[in-house]
Amino acid sequence: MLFEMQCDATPADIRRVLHSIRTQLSERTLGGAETITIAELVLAEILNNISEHAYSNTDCGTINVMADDLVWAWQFHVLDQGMAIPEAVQLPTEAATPEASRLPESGFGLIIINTLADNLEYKRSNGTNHLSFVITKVPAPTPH
Amino acid sequence: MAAIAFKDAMRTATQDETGRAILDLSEVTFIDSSGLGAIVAALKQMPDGTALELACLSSAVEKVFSLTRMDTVFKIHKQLPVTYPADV
Repeated sequence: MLFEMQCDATPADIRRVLHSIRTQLSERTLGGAETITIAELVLAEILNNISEHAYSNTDCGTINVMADDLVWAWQFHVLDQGMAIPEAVQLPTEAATPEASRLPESGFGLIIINTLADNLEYKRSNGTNHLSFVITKVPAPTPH
Repeated sequence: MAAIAFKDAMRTATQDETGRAILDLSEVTFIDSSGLGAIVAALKQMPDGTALELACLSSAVEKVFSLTRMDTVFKIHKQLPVTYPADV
């Protein structure tokens, strides 16, 4: 395992753990800067969603983030003990072309997650939400 | 909360605008969906007949705008147009 981290489901602690994950990925793996940014974008949306929705009824939830380095990708596992994701939540496959008169101000998070993460899987067991996904490493540009 | 404060600050900054306002994002290294939503909300609250444009997007910010197709909604400048003072 590359690392396991825990944070409180609060905006401040989520920012702290995202920064810590960025440091771990850049110092201990060969993923390039773009892959790290993609992982950070996806993790930020997932952790914020857990804080806002799974733990919407409490101020004291915790989130565990684990990562494995698979050479070609990173595999992440995110666990929380909040409320289950409602079955009605569907991940959009891609962003709709926006109409100028009816611009959405939300719903972007699920688009970001579903477009950037691969092998997204969700399980609920023993009161725990277990979300796993893969971030494929973007090859660094080869020098000419 | 930060998103609400941003929308309020943008409303104050643009309420007397008569032409276009350009939001300089050169100091923004990372944006999530709520930050994007706040910028879209700022666009929607612009006074009639005015425009909100963006400048100096980092690669992470640009990626969020293109994934969500919001790059088709905003005019995006690679650099601040030189005819504008730095505090616009």
